Amino acid sequence: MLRYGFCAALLAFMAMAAFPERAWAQACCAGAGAVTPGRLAIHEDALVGLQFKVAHGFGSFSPTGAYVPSPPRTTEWELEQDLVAALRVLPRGQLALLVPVIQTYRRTPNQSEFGGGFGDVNFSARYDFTWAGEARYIPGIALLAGVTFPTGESIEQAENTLGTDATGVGTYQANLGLALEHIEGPWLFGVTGLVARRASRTVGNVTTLLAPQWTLLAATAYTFPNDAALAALVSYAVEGDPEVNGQKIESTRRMPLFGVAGVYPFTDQWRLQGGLYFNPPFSQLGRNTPALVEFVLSVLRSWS
Amino acid sequence: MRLALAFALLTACAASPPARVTTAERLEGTDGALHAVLPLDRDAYTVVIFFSADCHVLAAHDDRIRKLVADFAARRVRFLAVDPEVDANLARDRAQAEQRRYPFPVLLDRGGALARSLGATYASYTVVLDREGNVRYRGGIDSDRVHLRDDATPYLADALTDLLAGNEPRVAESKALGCALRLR
Repeated sequence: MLRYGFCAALLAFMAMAAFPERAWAQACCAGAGAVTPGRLAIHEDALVGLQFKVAHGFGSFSPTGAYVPSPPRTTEWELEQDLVAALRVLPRGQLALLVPVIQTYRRTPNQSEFGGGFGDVNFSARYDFTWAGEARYIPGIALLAGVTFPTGESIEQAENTLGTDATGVGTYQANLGLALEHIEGPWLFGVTGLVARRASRTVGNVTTLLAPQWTLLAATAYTFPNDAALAALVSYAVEGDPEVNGQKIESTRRMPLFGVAGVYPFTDQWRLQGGLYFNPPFSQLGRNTPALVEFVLSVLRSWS
Repeated sequence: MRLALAFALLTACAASPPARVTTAERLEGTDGALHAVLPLDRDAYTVVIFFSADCHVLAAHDDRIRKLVADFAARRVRFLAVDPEVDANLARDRAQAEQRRYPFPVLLDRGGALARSLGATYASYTVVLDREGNVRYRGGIDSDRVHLRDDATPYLADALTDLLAGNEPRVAESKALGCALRLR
C-alpha cells in the first residue's frame, strides 16, 4: 500500500537531495536534484552512501479526495535501506545508482506480519547545461533521466498473507525531468518538473497500464558558511486514469507532499543528510493515495 | 558511444585554459590604484587568486592565504585577488578585503576577460604567473574545501617553493574546490 506513496516521497527526496554547491551566501547541497538522493556537488567526482528511511501510513485519501485516517487497530510501517552511488562521467554530467532493501510491517485487527527483500533498482543521469550561480539571470538548467528496474518482488509474487514481502511495483519505470535552480545570496530556489511513465503489467489475463505521473516540485534552501544547509519543499504529483485490458478505469491520483530537509557536512568528504516528509492530511489535497510521514537519513562519502 | 567520446573531448578542450597571459591591461584595485597582473620588476612571480565576495570556500582559506603572503612576499612573490563576477562591486570588495585583512588589493576584472583567459570558473582558483606571463601553476590553494585539515596538500605553497628553488612545480595543476564564479 505504501509503495506508490513511497514513489512520491522518493521523487521528492531525490529532488531535495542536492542543490549545487556555491557558497555561504551561496546555497548548497540540500535542494533539488531529482531522480537520485546522491547528487554530486559541482566539485565532486563520486560519492557513495547509505540511506535509511522509516515511513508510517497514518491514513489515506479516498477516490473523492476525502482524507480518511487509518482504521483503529491497523498500522503500517515501512523501513528502507538504500545503497546510493554517483559518478561524474562528464564535467557536467553524472550517473547515479540506488539499490533499495525494503521491509514492511502491517497489522490488521486479526493479524500482523513483517516481510521484505530487495526493492526496485534505480539508475539515473543528470546533465547540467548551466549551473546555478554561474550567471546572474540564467538559472541552473539540468536534464534528468532515470529508469527503475523491477528487481523487487511485486504484489502478485508476494507470498505473505498481507503482502509485506512485496518490495517493488512489478514493472519498468522511466523518469524524465527538468530542473531549474537559482541562487540569490545564501538562498537557493529550485523548481523541478518530472514525468514518470510505467510499462504495462500483465497478471493472469489482466493487463494494467498506469497513466503517466507528473510531478512538480518547488524547494528552497539556505546554506550556512560550513556548507550545512536547510531546505523546505512542496511537491504535487498527478496521475491520470489507468487502463485495464485497454479500458480506462476512473481512478486518478493526486499526491501532495511537504518536507523539510538538511545536510550537515562533518568534513569535506563526509556528510549527513536528512529529511522529514509528509502528505498533509487535508481533504481534497490528495486522491487515491495513502497519507504517509517519512523520515530519511543518509550518510554520504564523496570524492573530489 | 562515438558521440559521447567526441562530446567529452570537446568539453575537455573547451575547458583547457591557455598557458600564457599576454594582457598588459591594468585593473582597478580596492586600494584605488590600477594594477598590472604580470609580475612587477621586483617580483619573480604573481599569484592571482580568483575572488568572490560570496564564496565561503575562499573565506575558509583566509587565514591560510594571509600565511602564504607572510611566507612568500619577502621572496619576491606578489599576491593579488581578482574579482571577475558580473555583479562585482568595488565598494563591497573593499569592505571585504578590509574585513578579511587581505594584505593585497582585490582587483576588478570587469567583463571577466582575465578569468576567461586563465580558465577561472571557480572562486579560490589560483594561478601563478612568471614574469613572461607563463602560467606555472593553476588550481586550488590546497586540497581542502571548507573543513580545513592539518594534513591537507598545500598545492600553492609547494608550487611556489619549487619555483623559487628553480624547479618545476611537483604538481602544476590541481582542482579548485571553490564556488562557481558568476561570469555572465
